Amino acid sequence: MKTKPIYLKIASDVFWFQLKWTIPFFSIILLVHLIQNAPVFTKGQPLQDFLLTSYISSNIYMFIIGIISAAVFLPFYVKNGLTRKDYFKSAILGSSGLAVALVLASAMIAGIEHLVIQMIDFPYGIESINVLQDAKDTDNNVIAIIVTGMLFSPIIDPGHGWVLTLFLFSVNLFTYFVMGWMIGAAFYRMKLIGFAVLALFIFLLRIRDIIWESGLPLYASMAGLFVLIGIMLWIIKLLSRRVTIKL
Amino acid sequence: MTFAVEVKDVSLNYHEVAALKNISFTLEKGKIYGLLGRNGAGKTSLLSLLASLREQTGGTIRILGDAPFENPEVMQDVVFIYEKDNKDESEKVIGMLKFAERYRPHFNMDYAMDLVKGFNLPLNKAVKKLSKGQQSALFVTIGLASRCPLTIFDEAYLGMDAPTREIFYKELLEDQSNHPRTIIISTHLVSEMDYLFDEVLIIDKGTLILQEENETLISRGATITGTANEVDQFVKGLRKLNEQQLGNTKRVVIYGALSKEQRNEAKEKGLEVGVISLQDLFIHLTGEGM
Repeated sequence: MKTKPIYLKIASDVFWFQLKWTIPFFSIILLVHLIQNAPVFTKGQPLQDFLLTSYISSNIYMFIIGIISAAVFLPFYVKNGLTRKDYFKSAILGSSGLAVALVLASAMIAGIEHLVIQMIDFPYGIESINVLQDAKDTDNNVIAIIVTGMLFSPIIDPGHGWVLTLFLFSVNLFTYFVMGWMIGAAFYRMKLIGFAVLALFIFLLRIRDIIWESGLPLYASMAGLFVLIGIMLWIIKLLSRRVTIKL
Repeated sequence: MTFAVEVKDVSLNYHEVAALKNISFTLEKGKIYGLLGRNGAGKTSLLSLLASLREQTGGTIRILGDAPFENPEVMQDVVFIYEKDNKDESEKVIGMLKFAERYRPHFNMDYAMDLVKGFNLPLNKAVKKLSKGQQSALFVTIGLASRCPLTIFDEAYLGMDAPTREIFYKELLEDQSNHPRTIIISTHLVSEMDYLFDEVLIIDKGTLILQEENETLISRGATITGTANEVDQFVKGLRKLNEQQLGNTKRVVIYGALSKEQRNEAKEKGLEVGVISLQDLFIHLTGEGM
């Protein structure tokens, strides 16, 4: 009898475990979102939906989860008798699942908001992630590039339709996970020399933006993004496939 | 014959420092091995290699016939329990046990629960909130209940008090006889644990200096007790490891097996010939005290 591959078991564990962490994170974001939006009812501004709030904060969240993936999860699983290779596959699956779950949950909350706004007939309407199109100021300062690059990803255009938008949102979150994972893997393996990978991170962030802002057709940009993710996964694999697990 | 562990010419370098130098040995299935060595001798380095936490610089390792590193079948059959810092481990005791049950193919939850009861562990408490002794007891529980064909305990019992350690020793022997597996125990508590070992390996400065059955090993030396003069005369020319005197009674630990004639001579002189302890031998063979 062929048993289910072990990496699927780990992937499901990784997914549920990270989802457990996500609940408090999401609750806080939701609370901040509500507090932040409360004044719009008196000020006469459009409401910003939860997708917009989540879009900005979930990037950072996935980035941190990525770092933890390399520094905490990998050693934990290897110490429990699982291979680095199986963990690698399962982290890709588990975190993709988490990215999709985060996006779906955000979309559901945003959907409710849109419904409520329609029901109460709020005169100023509601804004979603399409407003980000103009939000990203291409400052040439390096720090500004990193910060805006991390906060505002250029890949969302609701003109593509909602399904594709949510898919791109998920891919975007997964990209942040992989970036965090790559940095975590470099630090875990090489300590301070791992700093070098930060330069690579900034470089890749720019490449991603350039691909997306180059005016290429959507599918060409998407292919570019997937190649970028592939390169980062390959780097992670090189860094972690024979890595020494610290006691 | 497939050995539980075959280590051949294994070396491990940390940058320029050699932690292990061309170590070779084999371990049979179903035996309990004591791995002794002073701090920094290379015990944990060697055990980390067996647990696939790192790769050796040179040589080959086989566990149950296969190279262990990144081999899923072998890795899940090797459990490595060591003394660690759990101050950030917020998982509960029951969560840790369930995790082990999920990933260790031979894990037995009923037995784990018996041990939890025996060690008096609170199931719903976070690991970081347990006392040091309770943490050790939990990981020892996971090590025993995993029933892995190769089970390694590396100083995993340091936090336990003496009665808890006694429970551990008793359970180890009992469960090992009911479910035979190869167990490696690395320890400083030689005098307390020597009766557990079928065989002993002693490692010093990255080199394996001895592998021998426990009984053969302790027959390599003897203690001679009697009146000071008689003892002094008898041990002249023999290699003394240790001596103690109380009033006119003297006890000398010697290294080297006694011949039948020497034993008879001792008997005629009214000297008592006793068994040497593993601890005395260990201290002697590794140069200094611990």
